[in-house]
Amino acid sequence: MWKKDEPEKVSPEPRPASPPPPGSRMDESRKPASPVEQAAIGRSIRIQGDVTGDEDLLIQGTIDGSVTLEAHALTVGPDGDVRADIRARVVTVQGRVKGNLNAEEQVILQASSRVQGDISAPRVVLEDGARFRGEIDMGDPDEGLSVRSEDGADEKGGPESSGRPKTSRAGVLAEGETAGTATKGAPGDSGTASVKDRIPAKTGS
Amino acid sequence: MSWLSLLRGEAPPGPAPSPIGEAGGPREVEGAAPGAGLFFSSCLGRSDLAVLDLGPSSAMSFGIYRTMARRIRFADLFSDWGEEGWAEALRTVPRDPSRAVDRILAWDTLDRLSPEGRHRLIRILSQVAAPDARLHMVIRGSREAAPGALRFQLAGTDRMVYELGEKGAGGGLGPPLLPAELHTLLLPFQVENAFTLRGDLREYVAVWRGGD
Repeated sequence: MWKKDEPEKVSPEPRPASPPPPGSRMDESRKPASPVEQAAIGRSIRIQGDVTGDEDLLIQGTIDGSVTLEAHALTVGPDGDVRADIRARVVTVQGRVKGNLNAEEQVILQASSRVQGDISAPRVVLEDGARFRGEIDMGDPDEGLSVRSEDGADEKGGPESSGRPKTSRAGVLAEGETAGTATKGAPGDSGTASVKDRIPAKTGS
Repeated sequence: MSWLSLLRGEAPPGPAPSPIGEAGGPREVEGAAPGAGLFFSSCLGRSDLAVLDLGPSSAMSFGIYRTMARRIRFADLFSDWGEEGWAEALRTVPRDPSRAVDRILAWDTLDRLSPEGRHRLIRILSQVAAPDARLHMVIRGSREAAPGALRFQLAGTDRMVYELGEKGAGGGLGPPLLPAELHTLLLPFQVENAFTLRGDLREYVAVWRGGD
């Protein structure tokens, strides 16, 4: 059975390379690269210890310890439950993680994910619906980040931009609609702006 | 309705709008937030800030923060993460001055705490805040503002969306927080701007003056 503090070995499940179409001639330059190897930890597998590897990994089971795949991609599937610090090139979370995520390239928290811990990566994608508690540290501020909207497109924007990200939402008042139909306001209120009064600034002393 | 309006063919006014969450009212409202506009105008040209959002994570808000911040924390104070109480969510926020927080977002937060909890929260925030850190808050003007927890997100640097949260999220509401009481409560944060939003919500921008 699994022993704590012993690195776990996972069996690779190489994806078969798709055969060339009939009649086509494949020279060396057109040969596909070696098939991407992705190991998988199944739903019924429970690991207590440290997981290391040199290939991509899909976790659908439960891991309590640490996961290190320095140059490879790690995916925590929808049924995955990881209580471990994770280090990989790319980390994609669809399930649950309690631990810190450290990615050389990117962390993606998909809509179904529930993550508690700190994230360190130059690029972070936080999908609408993802639940996250912790800190995101992007390192170099010049590195780009993105927010993926529900349609999967990356969004760009800046403090100067007051446009909202393209998330499809029901019930939101569109520009130009009167907010008076949606919020409680004083008689006579109308217009798009929902600000009614401006209170003089007070200083607490 | 005046006879003049009738002669002009103007439509009669509709029924009074329902507050969010009430029967016939919306579950989500978007509107201008001039306090947020002021708050984020101080971030123009910055890309190295540290942001602490006390609410749940939001892709929309993250899209705004990422343009100005290097470190972004979603504390999600009132959601159930299997921990004891909201203060646990702030336990891991560094007290190290080199990792101090520059911008704090506290939307529908003070309302949901007891008077003791409010003082405790401000004390924690003053410990993690950088000199001249800014605090943006949205507080209910009255109990009628919304029947339950509200979830706020940024729809832009000067627009916000708020919706009713999940039932039971964050428990009930604390006693009403009067404006004069707030000014005292927030010390050493000092209120610089205040606005009243529709829906009986108040928006405040405060600056940390602990070093004065």
